[in-house]
Amino acid sequence: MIHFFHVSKVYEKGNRALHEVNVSIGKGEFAFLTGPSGAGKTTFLKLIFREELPSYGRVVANNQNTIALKKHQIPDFRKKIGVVFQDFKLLENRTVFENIVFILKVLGYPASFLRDRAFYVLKLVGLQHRYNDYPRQLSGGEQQRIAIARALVNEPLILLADEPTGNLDPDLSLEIMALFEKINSRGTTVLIATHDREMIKQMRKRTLYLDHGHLQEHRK
Amino acid sequence: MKLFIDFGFYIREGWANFTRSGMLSLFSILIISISIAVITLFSTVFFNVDHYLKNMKQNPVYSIFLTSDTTVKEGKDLSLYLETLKGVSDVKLVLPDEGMKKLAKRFPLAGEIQKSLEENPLPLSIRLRINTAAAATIKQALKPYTIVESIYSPHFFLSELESISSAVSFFIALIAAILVLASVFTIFNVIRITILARQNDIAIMQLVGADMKYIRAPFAVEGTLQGLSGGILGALFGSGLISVIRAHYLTRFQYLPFLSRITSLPLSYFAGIILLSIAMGLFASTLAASRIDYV
Ligand SMILES: Nc1ncnc2c1ncn2[C@@H]1O[C@H](COP(=O)(O)OP(=O)(O)O)[C@@H](O)[C@H]1O
Ligand SMILES: [Mg+2]
Repeated sequence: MIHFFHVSKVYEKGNRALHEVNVSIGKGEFAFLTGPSGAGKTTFLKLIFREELPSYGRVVANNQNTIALKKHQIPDFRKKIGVVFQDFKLLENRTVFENIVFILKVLGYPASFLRDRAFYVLKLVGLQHRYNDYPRQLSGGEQQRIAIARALVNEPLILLADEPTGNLDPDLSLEIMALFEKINSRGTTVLIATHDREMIKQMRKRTLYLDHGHLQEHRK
Repeated sequence: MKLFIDFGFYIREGWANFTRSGMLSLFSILIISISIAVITLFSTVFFNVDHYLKNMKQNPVYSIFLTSDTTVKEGKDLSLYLETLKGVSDVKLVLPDEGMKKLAKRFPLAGEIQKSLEENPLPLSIRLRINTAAAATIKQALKPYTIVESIYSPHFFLSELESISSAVSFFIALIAAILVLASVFTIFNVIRITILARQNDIAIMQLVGADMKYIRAPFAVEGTLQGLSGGILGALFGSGLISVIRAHYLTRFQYLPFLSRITSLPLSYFAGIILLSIAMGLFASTLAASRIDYV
């Protein structure tokens, strides 16, 4: 489902974020990506949904080589990948409900589907009662859950989450993890970037360890 | 059905953009409405000149001068008779005093000359419009009337007027083209600024996989709305301006009948001008929106 072949990423200023990364994550897998801050976790995720392109090597997701994608193919490629961004990326001037419905809309979903689906995912993250609030009226943890709800809303084949529990207290973190496991059990490939070692220990899943752009594998 | 729903989405989002852009939208609308007002003004002049010339050609104004010993009664009788003829309209008997007044208005010197004369030297005359096709038969019908001194027709200077009019219409078209370009340029840049202002939202939409049409089309709608409102305001402003000009200035030029009787544009012209404005908005904003690149 996700393959990195000899991937290196060097940013414009010469920052080397990833170095010779080779890894495969299979369909339906649940994996963690961990490592200290600045290790390259976010870069790794960005390469998967083609926010960034590799400087060397190839990234293949959903059987598509991201470098070979034509511009006009990018939207359809990204539709199959749900992303929980580290900085949430919610639309500031739209309500919680609109944030989710709007995204479904611009992904091309039929109108009849929108409302029910939006409330369904809001219930999953336990925030259906905040549907009419604006993002700035929510706490960091609540915004994070909205970002999670949005990533789930179109049942993606791959779910990428960048520090999705960074703003949540431990109980809520576990609930969200349980939600990710539930999504995973329906066949979605899940990859979660986190530096929360406690959680990784508890979850007992495949873990990829990044350090200064070098990837090592830990299986438990 | 899907297309229909999508269209509703573009309109709603475009309207939201339009209202959110506030001052920028107003600026764009201001520029468009000034351009459209000027275009309306010039179109009105063009329309009236054109109308006047056509009328002059088809039904030119003739003056029939009567012999100096003709009585007013005889003049009236002839006028009545003329009115019964086919192809004749707007018959008016001009008494010598009136004729002199008109002349004096046009050429102040004539008034001075008249004052120094004992008597009014002008004879009775009849002003009337004669359809060009009927002119020959009417002249024939006037043959037996010995009180007819001479018949004056304005044909000779029509061709001159026509060449002036075609120069004027070229000039008007040139100005209109410049105004259209200026409006398109303004709308294009205003939409580019609003795109820049919403760069964040656009990037988010792209990162989650939104189709470009949903991102671009609302901006095209926004520009079209600017064109529509600028067009309507400009047309209203332009025709208001014409009423004011007509009421305050043109009434002074009574001897130039087409200036004092200038009419507003027919509705079909207004529709055309507003459509032009909408087209400018649609074109400029589509151009600006098409430059949103994939991230
Ligand atoms: N857009 C960018 N331009 C330049 N350097 C970047 C950019 N994004 C990340 N980096 C650098 O790449 C390295 C890895 O960053 P990142 O992938 O965000 O790590 P993590 O998510 O593990 O904290 C860091 O040294 C960071 O400064
Ligand atoms: Mg990061």
